[in-house]
Amino acid sequence: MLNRILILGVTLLSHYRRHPAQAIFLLSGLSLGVAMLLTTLIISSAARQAFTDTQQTLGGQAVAHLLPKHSQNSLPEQLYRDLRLKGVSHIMPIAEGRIKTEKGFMQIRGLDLFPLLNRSSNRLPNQTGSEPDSYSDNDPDNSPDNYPDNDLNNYLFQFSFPPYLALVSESYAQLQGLKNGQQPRLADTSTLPEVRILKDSAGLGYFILCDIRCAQKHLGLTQRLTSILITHLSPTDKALIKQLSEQHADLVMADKSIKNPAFTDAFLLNLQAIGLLAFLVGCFIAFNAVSFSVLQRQQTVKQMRLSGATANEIVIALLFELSCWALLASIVGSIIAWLLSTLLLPGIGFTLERLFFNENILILGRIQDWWGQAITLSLAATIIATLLPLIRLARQPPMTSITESSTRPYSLLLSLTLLGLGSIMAFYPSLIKPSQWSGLVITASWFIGGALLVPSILTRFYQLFCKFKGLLRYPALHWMLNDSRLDQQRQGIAMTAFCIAIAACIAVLIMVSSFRQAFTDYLDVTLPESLYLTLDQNQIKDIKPFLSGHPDVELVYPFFMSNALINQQPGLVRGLTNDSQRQSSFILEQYSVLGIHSGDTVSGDITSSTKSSEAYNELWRKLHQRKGIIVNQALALNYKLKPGDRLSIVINNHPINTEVLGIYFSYGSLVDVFAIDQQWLMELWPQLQTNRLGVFIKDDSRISPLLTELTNRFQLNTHHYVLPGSIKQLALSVFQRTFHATQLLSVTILLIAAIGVYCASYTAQLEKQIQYRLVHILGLSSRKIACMALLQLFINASLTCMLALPLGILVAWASTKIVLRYAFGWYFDLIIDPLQLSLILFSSIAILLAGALLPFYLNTKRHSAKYLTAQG
Amino acid sequence: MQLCQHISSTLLCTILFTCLSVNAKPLPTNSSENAEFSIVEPGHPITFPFDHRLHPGFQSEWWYITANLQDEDNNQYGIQFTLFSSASLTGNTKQRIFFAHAALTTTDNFYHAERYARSDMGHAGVEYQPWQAYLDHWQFTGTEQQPLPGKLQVSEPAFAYQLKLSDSDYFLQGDQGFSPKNNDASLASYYYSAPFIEVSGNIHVEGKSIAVRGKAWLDREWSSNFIEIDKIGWDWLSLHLDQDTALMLYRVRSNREILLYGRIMHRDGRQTTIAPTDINWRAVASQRFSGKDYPIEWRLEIPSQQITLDIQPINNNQFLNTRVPYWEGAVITKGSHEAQGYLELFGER
Repeated sequence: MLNRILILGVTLLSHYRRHPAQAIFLLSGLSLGVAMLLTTLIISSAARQAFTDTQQTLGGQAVAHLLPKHSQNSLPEQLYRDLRLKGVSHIMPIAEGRIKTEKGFMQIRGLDLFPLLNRSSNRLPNQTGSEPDSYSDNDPDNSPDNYPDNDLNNYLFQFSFPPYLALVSESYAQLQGLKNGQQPRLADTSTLPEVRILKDSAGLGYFILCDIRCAQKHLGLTQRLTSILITHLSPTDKALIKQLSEQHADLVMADKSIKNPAFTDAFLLNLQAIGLLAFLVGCFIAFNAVSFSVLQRQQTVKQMRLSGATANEIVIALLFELSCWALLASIVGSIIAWLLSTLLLPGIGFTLERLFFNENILILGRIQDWWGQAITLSLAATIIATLLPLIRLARQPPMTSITESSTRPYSLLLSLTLLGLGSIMAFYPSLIKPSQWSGLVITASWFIGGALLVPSILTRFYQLFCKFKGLLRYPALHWMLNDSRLDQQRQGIAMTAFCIAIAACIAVLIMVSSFRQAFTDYLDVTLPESLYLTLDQNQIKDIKPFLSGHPDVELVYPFFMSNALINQQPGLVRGLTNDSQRQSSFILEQYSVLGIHSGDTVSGDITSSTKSSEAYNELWRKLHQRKGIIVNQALALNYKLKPGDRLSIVINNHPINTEVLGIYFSYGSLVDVFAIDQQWLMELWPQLQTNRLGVFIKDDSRISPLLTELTNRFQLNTHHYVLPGSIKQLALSVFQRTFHATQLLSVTILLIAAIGVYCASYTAQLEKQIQYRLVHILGLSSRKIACMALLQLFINASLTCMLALPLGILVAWASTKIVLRYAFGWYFDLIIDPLQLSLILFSSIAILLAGALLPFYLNTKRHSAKYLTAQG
Repeated sequence: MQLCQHISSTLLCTILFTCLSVNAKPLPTNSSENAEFSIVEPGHPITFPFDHRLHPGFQSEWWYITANLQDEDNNQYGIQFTLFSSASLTGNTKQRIFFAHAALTTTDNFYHAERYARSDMGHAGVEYQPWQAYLDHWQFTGTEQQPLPGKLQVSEPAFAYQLKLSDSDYFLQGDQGFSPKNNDASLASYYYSAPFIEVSGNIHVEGKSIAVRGKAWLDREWSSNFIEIDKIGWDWLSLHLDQDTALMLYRVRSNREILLYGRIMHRDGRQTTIAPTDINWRAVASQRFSGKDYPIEWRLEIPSQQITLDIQPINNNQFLNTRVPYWEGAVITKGSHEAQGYLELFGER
């Protein structure tokens, strides 16, 4: 029995030896699908692990931070000492900032390692002979006996005392071009300590880690700290901290910090969706390849059945084939996934750190950890792609041929059902609980429903044209249209995959363009100034008048932001000076159209182009007439505010009930902030101080000379100033890197889909050999046949593109306006660039046609009579 | 605390061991190689209050307080507090760190903790006026320039104590404070003790605050070449034989030799060094901790002093699983005296 099955299996598999192209298509479809999905899973897993690690390791595990009050830019080290002497133990002093090197800037973080050695026992039961395990830290690697004490002291001293060591992760070293043993030179000609590069798995982030004294020296922070990290906060500790730090610091709980894992989840969700699409498209390719191989193996199977093989034996033999494909696909898929992940991880990790504040580097882990997933995915892909055709082949009665099944009417029904379901969920949100997942269901329903329309539309199109009697005068065209109508089962599937791929590509392009615009607006809003100065009070006294009188400076203003109560809850208030520069840097999501209908308040969207509208000017005037405030999106979302609503706030113990004039974009920030007229703020809070100056410069080319002048005249260090321009540039470059990765994935899907269509065309060409030869013998030239086939492909591709375009736009719209809004409470406007979209569509069609040229050309080279004789 | 300890494990393990072991150049810590540190020499006078201070020229130094305590119901307790100072040379500069151990023993349980700090961060050190030795909120505060009378405060999540320490005479050990730790005196320290301290206060353990009284013992040593920690071990015993008599014994073990030293001190200031040949001090029972046998029960015979004692810990498990692990605990005796004291066992093999 086993021998018989083995022989059957080998015989069936030997088909691919004679037709290696089919094997390549099949394997490439499966492998690419598996690889793409696995890549996104690896990246997502690495990112999630990084977030978990962040909770466990340095920096991320903080339950709270002590940060300098808004009027100061650092904390006195004495505060840290006082806290420790009073018994607040779970704290870590941090000195962190940017240092200017010869090539640019690097981030440096200094800390004191010694308190990390503190340990305390738990209760130790008195059990004679028992091995005590008294430490609350149960990590076996942390058992004191595992510490080579002399070495520990040596390394600890080496790290903590001059000449120090600078520890850098592999990824950060790679980004900054640092080498082991190197001493990076700084712009002021001093040098950093010797660099030691650590494996990424050590959990360092994107900065240079060194001793606190070393960091203080390079940052010009003698006896000052930038923050104190708190890892555990008991009520006693909290009271002590509040009492001791009242003058200097704000206690900021970690849940109010800027870390935003939900943002990262959204990012990863997009990646995974793209991976899933690629997986489906890969399955389509494999399906096409297997379908064709099934047709070609009919004769073999017939012979097997006539030789006495049962259907079950053939099924088992085909299952053996299926397993071989799954195994091969898992091997090739995981290797490709591994290579892709290696390529993409550093960039994505850096992006997550910069955009979403995940401080940990993404670690690839071990390839064998993913083997199980790869096998599962490969099996799933193989089953999806090959099971039905293979079972049909196995069950084929010995004396009959497999017939093409008619177009299934329920694909249209399924498509319309999905589109309807998505629409009901989208437009009647009261029926479901709006959430990220419901948003995704809506998007997926539209996406799949729309794509499933492709075979029906193509069939209807050809049916419609075939009815024209006039076409009979053009037999070649008539033949082609009829052939296309009948061929939609196979072509339709390939075109559905192609439609999904193009729509995904369009959606990604629109989302990237839109997010880029939103991100640029965000940078413009948060960093509108040409120069940003963080100074102490004495420096402000000297520098502000100097800048006010400087001919290159258009505006210099103090930046005020401090704590306030919003409906009895903690939040932040910021002051806005009444200046056209400040006005133009505020982009409102919603605003009140004031003064048009007295007493009426209408809200509406505002875009950059309307920033100077009369209504907006009116809002600005009203804001500075102290008739209301503007709030950020987070605050509006938390309290369900809309323009015209009233809000209770407390600023410096002054309760105020005022109108919300508008809502400004806060781009996913979780902190509740409202903005009021700066003069008003100063009157309510006369003792409020700031250490920040925003400077607008008339001509950007004068920034550098002005900075040099300031640095020389007032002895400023790098931590005293920030150049928003360079930050914007860095942020945008990081942004581009991320979305290059996303675009790379979407383009890969498109390529896979194009391969799928090519594969379908190729197999169709082979399958239609007899038909082509007959048509050729009837008088249609080979060239004309090839042209007709190309025209058929062109019509299919064009119609698919025409459907994919609105589908892609719809998916992008749904992703931003529904998924984002449901998940995070904010969204951005869609930016649609017709030129780029046209480019995608035309290039997709062109690639398809170019790919199809070769098989079509080869087809024309064959001698019809000889071919038919041979077949006959 | 758990979180902080977790950081400790993660950061130190990953940074210091996983990574620095590559290309790391160990710094010299062995004092015998460091001419820059002061040398312990015989004949050097020890004066107070000057020598209650930190000795920055020396590499290692410690303040050691142990106490045997009883509550109203005569339950036995023990406490230990030790502040160590240790310096290393990086380049030509001496860098000093402090670390401290604190422990509390009940007859059922044993609690301990350790803390570390560098001297230049300012949350550990020794002040002179008023005298204070501290690391974070673990503080031993004296009076004016003297450690005694003083107060001792330690608090950890699992245990705490606040104790008042009475004044006591100081006894110079060895030869006027010069205390050899091997037979040719190439290893030595300056060493003095205050064995007659009356102590009272409160301990906090298992959610209860307990008033206690008892006897405490202060030891002070400093040196630059005392410990070659990987080469030697020692057993150290302090006993309050009665209200006016205290006994101190130590035995320093190395591969080559054993040095035995004993001294009896009286409240009136008299003290007697006991000849090693007159001391019969042997272990009678051991217990295994972290893979090593620690002799926690002893028999001591000193015929010239009519001392015959069976020494037993009040709790067998007084093993400090610190980064440098050792056994140190409260003991009681039976035999010629019903004494109380402390036993330290270090460097067992």
